[in-house]
Amino acid sequence: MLEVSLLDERQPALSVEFNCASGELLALVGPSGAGKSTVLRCIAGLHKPERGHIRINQSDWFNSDDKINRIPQQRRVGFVFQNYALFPHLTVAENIKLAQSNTQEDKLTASLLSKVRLTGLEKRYPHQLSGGQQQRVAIARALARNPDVLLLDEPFSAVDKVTRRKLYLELNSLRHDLAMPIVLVTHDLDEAAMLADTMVVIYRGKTLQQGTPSQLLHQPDTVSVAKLVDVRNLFKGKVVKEGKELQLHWENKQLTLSDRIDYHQQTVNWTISPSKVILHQRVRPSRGEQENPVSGQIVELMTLRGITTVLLSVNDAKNVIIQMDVSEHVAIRNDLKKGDAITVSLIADSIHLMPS
Amino acid sequence: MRLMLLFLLQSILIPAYASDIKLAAATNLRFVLPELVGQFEQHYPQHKVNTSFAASGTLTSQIQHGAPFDVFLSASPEYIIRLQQTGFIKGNIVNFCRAQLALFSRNGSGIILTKNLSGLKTALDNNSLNKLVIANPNHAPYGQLAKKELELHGLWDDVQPHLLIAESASQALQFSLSPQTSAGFIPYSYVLQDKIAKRGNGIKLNSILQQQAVMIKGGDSTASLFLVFLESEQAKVIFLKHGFEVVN
Amino acid sequence: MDWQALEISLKLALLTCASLLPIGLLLSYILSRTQFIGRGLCEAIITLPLVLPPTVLGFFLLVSLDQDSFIGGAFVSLTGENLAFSFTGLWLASIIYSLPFAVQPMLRSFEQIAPELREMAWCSGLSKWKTFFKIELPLAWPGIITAMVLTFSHTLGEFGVVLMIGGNIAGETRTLSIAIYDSVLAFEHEQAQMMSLTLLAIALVTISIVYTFNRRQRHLMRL
Repeated sequence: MLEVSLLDERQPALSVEFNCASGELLALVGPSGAGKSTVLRCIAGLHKPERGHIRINQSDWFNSDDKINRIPQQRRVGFVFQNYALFPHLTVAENIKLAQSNTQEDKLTASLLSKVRLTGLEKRYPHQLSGGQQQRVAIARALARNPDVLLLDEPFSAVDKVTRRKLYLELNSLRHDLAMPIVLVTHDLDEAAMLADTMVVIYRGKTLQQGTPSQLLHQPDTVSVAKLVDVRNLFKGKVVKEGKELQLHWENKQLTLSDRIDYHQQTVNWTISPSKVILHQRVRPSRGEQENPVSGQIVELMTLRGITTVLLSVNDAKNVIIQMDVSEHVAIRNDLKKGDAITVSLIADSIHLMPS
Repeated sequence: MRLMLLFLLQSILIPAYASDIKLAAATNLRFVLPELVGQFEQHYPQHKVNTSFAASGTLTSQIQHGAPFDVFLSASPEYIIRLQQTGFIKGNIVNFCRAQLALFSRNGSGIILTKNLSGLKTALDNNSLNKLVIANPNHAPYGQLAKKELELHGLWDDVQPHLLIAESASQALQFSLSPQTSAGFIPYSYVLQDKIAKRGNGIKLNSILQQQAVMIKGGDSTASLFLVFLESEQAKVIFLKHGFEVVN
Repeated sequence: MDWQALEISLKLALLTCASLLPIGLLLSYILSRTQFIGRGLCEAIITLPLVLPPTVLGFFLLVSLDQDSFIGGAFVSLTGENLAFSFTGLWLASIIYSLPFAVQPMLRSFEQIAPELREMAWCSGLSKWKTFFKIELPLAWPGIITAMVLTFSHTLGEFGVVLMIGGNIAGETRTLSIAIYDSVLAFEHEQAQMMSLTLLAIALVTISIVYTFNRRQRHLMRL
């Protein structure tokens, strides 16, 4: 278990709090300059924060109260830098061996190389490798110390898109063999959502929310988190109790809310995930469609890898656009075209409220 | 790298061969001293003489800054006096010979050489004088002598725009052989050298410089051996051959 | 051919290289890795011999090596030897006038090493010393070789300073370049030519070795 709690009022300011269990992959996400890399550098001992603690399996690496601050050499981290920082004058095998505690152990080198599928390239120099191969060497080198924690700083930003997708799969299969906490820093939300068990949103040095990718992406705690995770369909409304029923007043419409919600008589921010917006089938109307129907006109239609994104301009409201993601075949079956009038349902259970 | 270290080690381990007498000599003695030293070393094969040539003033300054010479051969008594006053010498001063100044012109320069410098005057008058070389009067005795000679004949002011100042008597000779120069004041002993005589003519002037030798503070008995040798008959023959005057 | 002068020249150049290797490494490493007030001044002082006329440098050195001066006096009382016009004094002077030739290339090559490589080495468990010897030194190698060759060639070729503080004492301070000057003045043009060609050949050979070496090295690591 990695426990991190950091506070720094100097520049770069930090107010960071998160935990990462062994075997868990935690993604630290946020815009560039948010202090993601600084947090990793703190964990590695390359940057000393003002206050706080960094604890790994109950042992302190940094603790400002007890004046503990171990140097990087004493921390046993496996660190993969953004540009990999491979030693250019050393071969692949030498790069890995350098980080081994027993530099004589050729077996370990060989097993690390096969783990990252680089067997046969031992004698190559870094400049003779492709970007993807370089990343694998960096990962193998990071693992060579048998680290207590693995730190990955934007490890996919230096390779092209095709390679990146391949590397995602590789990391995903590799990480299940690893027992230590893994912290991945990235500004790419999709990347984080795809690879991580847990996501932590960080902005201006401050961690805002920790949760599963689906929690963060669909149920952000605050509007700031919602904006940082690039939530679509972010609207303002008012919660009103009508008899027994809770309603959301929004753009002259009354949407039914499920009863677990407790924002009575309050102005709120609310959101609904585009994939949870339900299209009323034109040809075969079905049950449940009576729940929170909203009509509008299709203003934009885009299809990418099997998902069709539909932008709907809501009737009787000015400049209100709802985004809906449907499978491509649904779009085809319903013959959706730009300019078409359609109706969708915003199911009560899918509406997520946030304080304003 | 390893090769470099090996080389370095070798160069430290093999010392420069023992040099017994370090001679500081005025440059006008440049051509006579090798022969003299050769004779000396034949007499005393156990001793080796290393000679450094420079203008007498330069050598004096070096000695005053602690240059480790044993014997100083000056082209003029002036510097010996200076060293004596500041306590840098010991033992007697040896007046081993007298040297004369010469006016030299390279082949084809067209300057007529006369003892009263009338040739220079003519060249000045008809504007045909190119550069005129003298050693630096500030620290080279031959320069001082040349200046006196020019003053004596009332030419010092007129030749100013033509003067080419050399660092030492040796350099004055170098410059005098260059095509840009008309003439130069150089030690008479140089004029007698074959390789110089081939390239120009020189005339002996009346100015005389007493050459003096002296032992420097750090010198030892070996140094005095050389001083004695300077006054030997054998040495006198060599000096005479090179155009110096010796007193019997 | 004045073999003695050649020997002195080579000895001086090699000793200067041997002294400036640790001195240069220390200075350039400190300068490349630390920020402190007066760093600019520090670098300027090291570079000064590069721009000062040899006579100015020679004069200052002469004055400071003189037995009446602090350094010269201390040396005399310590060893009984005089620094001015001695081989040791010349060696000391060479270290000073060749300092920028040693420090500059080393400094540049240390500065070129990305700081991440150092940090990566620490994170890989390498101590600061190991990081220096296994990562930084090999990466700075071309610069160090360049520094040594420049120091060697420059020491071999220096004339003005040597003349001023070394005089022209055979077997002690008469280097090859002084011997060349001397033999020109003595009308021994053949000798002068021989020695000049020797110096030329040494300079050419050393510099081409370095260029070849550095190109191969750079190609190997594609730096």
